[in-house]
Amino acid sequence: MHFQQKMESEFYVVHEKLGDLFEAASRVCYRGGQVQGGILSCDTEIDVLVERLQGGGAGARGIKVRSKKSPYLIQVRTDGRRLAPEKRKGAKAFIWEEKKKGIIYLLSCEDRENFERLSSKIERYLSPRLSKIFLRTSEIRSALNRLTENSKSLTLRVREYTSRSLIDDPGSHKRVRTNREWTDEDHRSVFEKLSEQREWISAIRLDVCGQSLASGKIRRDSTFSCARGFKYFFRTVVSTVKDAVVRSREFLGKRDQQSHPKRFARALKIEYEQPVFSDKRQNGRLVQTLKGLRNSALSVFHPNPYLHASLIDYTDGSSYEIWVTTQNSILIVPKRKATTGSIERVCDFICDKFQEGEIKDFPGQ
Amino acid sequence: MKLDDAISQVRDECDNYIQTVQALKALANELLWDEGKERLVINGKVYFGRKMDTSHSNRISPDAQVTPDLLVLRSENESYVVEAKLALSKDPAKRKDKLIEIQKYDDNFYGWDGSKGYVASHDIILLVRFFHGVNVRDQIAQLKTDKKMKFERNFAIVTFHRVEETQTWMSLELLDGILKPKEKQDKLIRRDKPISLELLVSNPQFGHVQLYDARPPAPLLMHQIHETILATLPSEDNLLLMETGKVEREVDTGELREMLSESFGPRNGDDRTPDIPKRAWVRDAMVLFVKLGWSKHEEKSKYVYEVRQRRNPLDQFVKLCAREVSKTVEMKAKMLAKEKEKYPLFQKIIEKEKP
Repeated sequence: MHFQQKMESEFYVVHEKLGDLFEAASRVCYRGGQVQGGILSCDTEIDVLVERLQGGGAGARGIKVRSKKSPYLIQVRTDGRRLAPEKRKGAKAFIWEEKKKGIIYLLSCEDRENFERLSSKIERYLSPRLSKIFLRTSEIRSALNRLTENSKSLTLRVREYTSRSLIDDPGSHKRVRTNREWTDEDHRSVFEKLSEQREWISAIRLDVCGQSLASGKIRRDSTFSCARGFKYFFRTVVSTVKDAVVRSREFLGKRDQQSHPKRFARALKIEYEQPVFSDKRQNGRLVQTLKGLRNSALSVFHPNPYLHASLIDYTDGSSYEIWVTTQNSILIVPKRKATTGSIERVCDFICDKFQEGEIKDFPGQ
Repeated sequence: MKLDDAISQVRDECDNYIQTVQALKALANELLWDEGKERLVINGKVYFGRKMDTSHSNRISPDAQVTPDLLVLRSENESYVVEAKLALSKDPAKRKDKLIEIQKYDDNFYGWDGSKGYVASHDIILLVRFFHGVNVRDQIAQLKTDKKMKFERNFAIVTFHRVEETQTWMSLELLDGILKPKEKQDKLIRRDKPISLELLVSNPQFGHVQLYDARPPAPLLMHQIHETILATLPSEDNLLLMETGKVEREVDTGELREMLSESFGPRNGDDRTPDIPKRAWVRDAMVLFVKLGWSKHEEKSKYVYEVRQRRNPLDQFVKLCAREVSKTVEMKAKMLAKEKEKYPLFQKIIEKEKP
């Protein structure tokens, strides 16, 4: 039997307890495999989600629940003409919740590509109750700092990271470049360097050294992968990233008109240290960037010297007003409906594809 | 008229409407601003349109109901009635009637929020664009001299324009007249404290307002309808839209009007709140959706709206309206030419009286 198939057949069995699943995940890593996982925000109990996944609508979409209690084993059909035959078999993952925090975890031993397909299919089907949370560089940095501060014996070594930075060349058609570095440095010095060079992080692979050893990667979309010491990696890195996810969700969630008893929307601002919009061509670049957001529509009411546009997110019907009226910020005003997942997606898209800035509350007067 | 010119014209109309709403918000913000405490007056109230009963002695509309564009209740002794005239004609003769009509607000209105329904007095403000200001002021002065216009209450002309510096500001200037309190009047004369545009658009109380008591250009309302229909789709339909790229939604113009009003109109929650948008506006916009092929008319007020992932809805609405404008202009030009041909001796009169 092929190595991957053997690993999968041992991993994807019904686990009575979460501890058994963690043991199985550790075994996958020990044998040289990798587990993929995701931290998702959820506004309901897992039983409600699973009930929906067990319904006919999910079945028709190729989603099946293969076990009767948590951690639930989910199987998703990953069809597509472009897929290689071995990938058409489908993908599987375990799903369980962390009740008080409103967090759902996904864990799988699929390859990254297949896991992403599975994850996006589940998210889409369970939207808006389940949503993906995105983290900014500062949030990942603070989370990792907190982890090492709380456990003095623990050190984090960065082995690899992917970041983005601005292209200064005015003749360039691209605004942002992607950088990938292989290294062996303390996480603080890496984040210091990123800050100095005005880069923002996409993914970071870390070695965790403390009571045990672990190695894994975390990404700004709150997904992770682990190649060594799963239990320790989950207890340390994933757990601290989860806290950042909860904070981000609480900060960005419930900002639309329909979430407020008096129907007041709560605006937010992406603020930059530099006067990004002193060059009015940046308005046009922001418009071009926003046009690239999948499943959305951008309507520009006023392009220059100030920018006023409306953004509709077709994935769940959320909509926003986008304003650039100062040189160093973008104002996002949610309208009637703006789900947490959508706000996260829009803010992350601007931060990742245009330029990362600090997201702040903007209460107005 | 070329299509490109018509597109520019429709876009300008949209921008003018948006500017008018911003100007009303700026003035509301200014009138509620407490200079001493540097914040908005806590119990102040703002109404973007309110049906007010006129008295028997009203010089223009006795015993009737009028709907000023903006009413601000700052305190028991300080209240304001505002009329925005941002799209005034350049021709003084065409402007005259609109200006004289403002006198209908010089009355002891019934319908103010509160147990009595009356206020001691209110100031009247005419809000006009910066570049109309002087002409309007001079014309009103002339009308007053000619005894065609008079005010028993304080009357002021306030102009508005957007200022671009390191950020975008709204600047208001008191061009003529008197306003209470005196500090407010002095501040507006000095116009040294413009209001940040982002504070207006993010104001929790009235930031959402995008419609006032004047018909919006069709593309704006169509965009709002498109947004509202999407925002009120059940999540099953959202999923279907993502999977199949299309979903149909039955809409009733009455229900749609309510939803639009909730999202974009003034919300004061009593029976004096005017119906904004009006049902006729929504119905006309739905007719345009039918022309665009996005909607089908079922019966009476019922339409079936086909929701698709349209990438740039506003541009499509603007183009549609521009084509309509272009067609109308061409049609009128043809009619005019025909008339001239028919009555060659009256060519000059026909030309002069063309709309």
